[in-house]
Amino acid sequence: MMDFEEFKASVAEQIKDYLPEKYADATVDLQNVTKNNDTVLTGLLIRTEDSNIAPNIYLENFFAQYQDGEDLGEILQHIADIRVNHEMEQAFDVSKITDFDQVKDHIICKLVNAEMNADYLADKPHTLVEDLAVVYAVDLGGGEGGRMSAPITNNLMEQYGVTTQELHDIALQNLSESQIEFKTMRDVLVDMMFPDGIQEGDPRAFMLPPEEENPSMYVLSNADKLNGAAALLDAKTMEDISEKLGGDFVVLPSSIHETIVLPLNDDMDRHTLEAMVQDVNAGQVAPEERLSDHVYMYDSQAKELVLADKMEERQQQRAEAQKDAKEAEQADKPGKAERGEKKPERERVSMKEKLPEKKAEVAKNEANREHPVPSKTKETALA
Amino acid sequence: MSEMKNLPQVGVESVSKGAQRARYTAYMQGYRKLEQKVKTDKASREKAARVGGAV
Repeated sequence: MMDFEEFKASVAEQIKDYLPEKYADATVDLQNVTKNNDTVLTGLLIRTEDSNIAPNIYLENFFAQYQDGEDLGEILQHIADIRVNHEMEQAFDVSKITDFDQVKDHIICKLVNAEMNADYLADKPHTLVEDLAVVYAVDLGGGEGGRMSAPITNNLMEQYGVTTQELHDIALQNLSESQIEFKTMRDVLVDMMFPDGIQEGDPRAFMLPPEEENPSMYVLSNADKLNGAAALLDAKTMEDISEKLGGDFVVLPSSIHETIVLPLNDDMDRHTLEAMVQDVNAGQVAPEERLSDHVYMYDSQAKELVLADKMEERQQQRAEAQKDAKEAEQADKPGKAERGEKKPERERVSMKEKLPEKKAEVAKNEANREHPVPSKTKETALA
Repeated sequence: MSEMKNLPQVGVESVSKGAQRARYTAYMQGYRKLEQKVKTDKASREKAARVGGAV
C-alpha cells in the first residue's frame, strides 16, 4: 500500500495512460492549493498546449478511496474522466471570469468558518455572519466529476469595480434564484440510499429513521449538496422554515455542504448539542469540510442567524424587558390611585426609567461581548 | 503560460456521498442518544421528586 507521497507521484506518472491521445503532450503538475479551513490540498493540473486554463483535480479524496481498497487503475480512469469532462471546447475565454457583465449571474457564495480560514480569507473579499464568513466565487458549471469554480479575490473584485457589499447582494440574489432544498433527514437518506425507491424486504431500510408526524431533524442544502451551508443566507428560506417549525429553530453546522435544522426542544440544552457537533466534527467530518464547532439559532423575531449562546442572552433580556414593561404598565394604571393605592412617587419614576435603562444595558452587553466576530458585522479583507 | 499565472485558481469540487452519509448517520445516532438521555434524566428526576414527596 502506497503512502500519499507515493500515490501522488504514481498518479502524476501514470495519468496520461488513461487519457485520450490529444493529451499525449500535456504537461502534468502537482501543486498545493489552500482550500477551506486553511487546508492545503494537492491539485493535479493537466495542461495541453492549446488550452489556457485547466482545472485542479484534488487528490486527497482519491487517496482515501485507494486506502479503502479501490483499484488504482479505476481511480486513474475516474481522474482522467474528470479531466476530459472539464475540457474546454476552445481556449477558455478568460473574460468569463474577469468581465463583470458576464460574471454577475454566476457569482455564488459559500459559507466557511472565519477563524479557521484566516489565511484563505486574507486575499479575498468576505462578509462576516457571526463567526462564519461568506466568500464568493464564479461558478463555471458542473459535470459528473463535480462543479468548477474560481474564487473571487480582492484583485478580481477590484477588476470588477464593485464593493464587497455589492458582491454580497448579487451573490444573495443568485442564491435566492437557485435550488435550495429543505428535507427531513429521513427523506435525504432515502434519496441517497434508494434512488430507485425502497424495494420491499430491503434490509437497508432498517437503517432509516422512522417516519414521524413531527420530524425532529431536517437537512438544509442545495440540489448538488455542494457548499450548501450557504442556504442559511437566504432570508426567504429561513423565514419559510421558521413558519413551518413555528418560530425560532436550531441550526447544527454539520459541514460546509449542508446544515442540520432542529425544531426547538426545551429539553435539549445548547451545551449538549454543542458537544455532539464537536464529537461529529472530530470523528466524521474531513478537516476541509468542517464549518463550525458551535450551535446556531434562527431568531425569528430579528430574522437573523445567531450563535446559540447569544440567543440565550437575547431570550433572557427579552423576558426581563417584557416583565419590566408589564410592571411599569401595572404601576401606571390610574385605578390604583383612585382606590387609594397610590405608590410612592420615587418608585413610579424608577419604573418608567427602567425600560430605557434596560435597553441601554442590552446594547452595552452586545457591544462588550467577547466573540470571534461581532454579529452582523460586514467587512472586507481588502488589503 | 504566463497568462495562466495571472488567472484565478479554478478548482473542481465534488462531494463524497460516503462522507455525507457518515455525517448524517452520526448526527442521527447522536441525536437519538440525546433524546434517550433526556427521557431517562426526566424519569429519574420525576422518580426522585415522588420519593421525596415533592410532587
